[in-house]
Amino acid sequence: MTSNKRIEPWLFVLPALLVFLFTVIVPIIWSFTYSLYEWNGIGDKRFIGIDNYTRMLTDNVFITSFKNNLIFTGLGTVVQIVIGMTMAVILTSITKFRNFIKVIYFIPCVISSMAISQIFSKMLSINPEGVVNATLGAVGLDSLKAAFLSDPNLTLIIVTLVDAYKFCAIYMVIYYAAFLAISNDIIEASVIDGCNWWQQYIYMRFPLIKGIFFITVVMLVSGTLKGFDVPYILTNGGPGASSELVSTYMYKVAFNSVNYGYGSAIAVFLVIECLLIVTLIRKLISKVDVEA
Amino acid sequence: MKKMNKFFAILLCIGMLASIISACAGGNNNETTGASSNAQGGQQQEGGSDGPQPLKIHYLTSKLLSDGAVQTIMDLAEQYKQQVNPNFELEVESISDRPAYLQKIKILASANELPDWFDADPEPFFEGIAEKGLVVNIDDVYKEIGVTDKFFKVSIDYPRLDDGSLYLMTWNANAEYFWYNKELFEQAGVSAPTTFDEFLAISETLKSKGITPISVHGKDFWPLLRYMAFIPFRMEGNDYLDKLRKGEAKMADPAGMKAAEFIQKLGQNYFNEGWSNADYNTSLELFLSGKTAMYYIGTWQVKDMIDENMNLKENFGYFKMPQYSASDKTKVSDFFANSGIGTAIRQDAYNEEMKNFLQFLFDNYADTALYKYHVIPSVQPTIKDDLSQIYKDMLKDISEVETYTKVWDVRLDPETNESIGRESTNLALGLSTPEEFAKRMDDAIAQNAPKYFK
Repeated sequence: MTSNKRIEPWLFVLPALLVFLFTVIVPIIWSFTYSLYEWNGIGDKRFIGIDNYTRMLTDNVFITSFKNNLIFTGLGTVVQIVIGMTMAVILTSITKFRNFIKVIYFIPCVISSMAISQIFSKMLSINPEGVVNATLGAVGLDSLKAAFLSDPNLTLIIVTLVDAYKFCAIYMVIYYAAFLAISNDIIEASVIDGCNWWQQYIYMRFPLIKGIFFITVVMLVSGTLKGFDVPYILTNGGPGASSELVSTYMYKVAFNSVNYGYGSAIAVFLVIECLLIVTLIRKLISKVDVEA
Repeated sequence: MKKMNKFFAILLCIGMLASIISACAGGNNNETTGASSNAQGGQQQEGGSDGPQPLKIHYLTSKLLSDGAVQTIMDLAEQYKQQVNPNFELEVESISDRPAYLQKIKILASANELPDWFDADPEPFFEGIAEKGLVVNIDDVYKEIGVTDKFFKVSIDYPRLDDGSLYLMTWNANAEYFWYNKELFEQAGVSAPTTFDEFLAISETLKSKGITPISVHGKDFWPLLRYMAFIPFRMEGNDYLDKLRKGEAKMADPAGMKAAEFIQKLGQNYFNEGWSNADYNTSLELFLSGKTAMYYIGTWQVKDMIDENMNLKENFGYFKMPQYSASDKTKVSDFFANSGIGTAIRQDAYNEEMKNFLQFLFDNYADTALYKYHVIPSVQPTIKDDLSQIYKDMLKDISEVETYTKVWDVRLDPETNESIGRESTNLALGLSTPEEFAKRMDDAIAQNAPKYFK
């Protein structure tokens, strides 16, 4: 294994590594430095040590946003996997209009978050009446009509679902590609052995795309942990802090309250949180892998 | 191999995270380089001994481009270009979404890339900008061009900082009224209130007749904070807010608690459904289309309440901030009046030619603004006999104000501001009690105020 000690591989990696260092690692270190200061952008910086971090522990809004974020991540991940997988299975099972349906399913992905959020905010609006409330009224369910985006008990679930709606087709495409990659020989063999459609999926297809599946879980969790655009545009974290996520709160602290120090501290927290949770998931996955 | 996988997954994760952080900071560069090069353009071109110097002003405004004041400024800039200086150019960029605008200015200021002209309120963050000497002292400018005496008192006093210095030019003189729909009032058999008790009573009557009493939009925080300010201002004048923001008075004091209870009562009973997520235009449209009976807004929006002859439309009426009790410290003629958001000039963008333009601008501003664009100007206009009654009344109201109500979201520090915006929404939605609200606000002020008010 002499290849490990050679310098050439490092030379090839170097350009990418440098870009990565300057665009990723340096900003993180930078954020961490800011997080030790109190700074409003124009005045002088004041070193305050870890005060910004201890403040997080007592900051109610931060704690709420953290809890909200866990719900956003948990629910969002499950919904996107289930819907993505269902759509992929449907696509694999049909033969006619496959491409057409694939495109239809994928449309939400290519619409910008801004547009999606605006569409939903108009649809869910009560005053002027949006599509959802109008439909509820038309079918006689007047009692269910509500200002959905102003109801603090619903906003978090709504933003989670809208975010999931936007991104689930990406996972559909990934699963669909994975299903296609399974060799036909295996499937045919299973058919000869008397496998029905359901058993094909349970015993053959799902286990065969397990690796891809785990990757999507990691993607989803890290993606939703830093979820920002839909909650920010649709409800702006409100009403109150009912749909505030860690990243939207970080943004507001840094750029509305102009407390760059505390904002950076929250950003650093987000980095560590993501690393921890993703590491944890990978630990669990490797355990499952070994057992299987 | 597994180790490597893990390593790459972690790197990937860091990469994704970093993209948000960098996205937040990145977006502004394009715009600002343009701005600073403009400024240089204004100063570098020293050549040409005759005639006026070329001048290009980049003005970043929080007003709509269709706003009367902005229209007037652009109109006069065009006239200036044609009549005085052919090499003059005023480039107006508008970000009318107020929170987005304020954010942008804060970021530009932090990056030391402020535009030549930009809008600001006399709030603590702007005070920091002024203290650093980044903007021009407007008192001096007004004196140089000799317009100080021509302004309405409120338009020159409102934008002053705590120490009395002035760094903001203003364009409007605004009074804020409750506008109401006469038809809906008649239907419910109520008339304009003079006290807040009556105000609540007529809201109840309107509601019982199936009419939504009040239009409010909660997407911005300021409308709710106006309602928050009413009762404390009547009870204690501006003293309460001045002390509260420094932590010397408490939200838990009687004035604060009365305000909190008032907001909660309104929010839970009398505001339009879905108000907390409604935006400016939604609440305005609700009122204009007769779906709500009352709407609190300043005279900057008066163009929607008047007909083509500048007379108040038949269907609308208006009343001033009601009184609270017989022992009020402020008079009925004292209410919310202000100059609207002001405009600052970056120190190193200011020069002789800009002064000439300002001279031209302020000499012609008042009458153009009033008679051509129907906005009440910051500079006192000539009152012509055929000016409509409502404009005469509004101008009279504005000049009669002795103590104008100070605006909470301008006076409080930026961090407390963010908290009070969020918490007052919670309060009005019934998610917290007035006591909890008061405690959270007092805690926030105790934590944030010392950083801004020493």
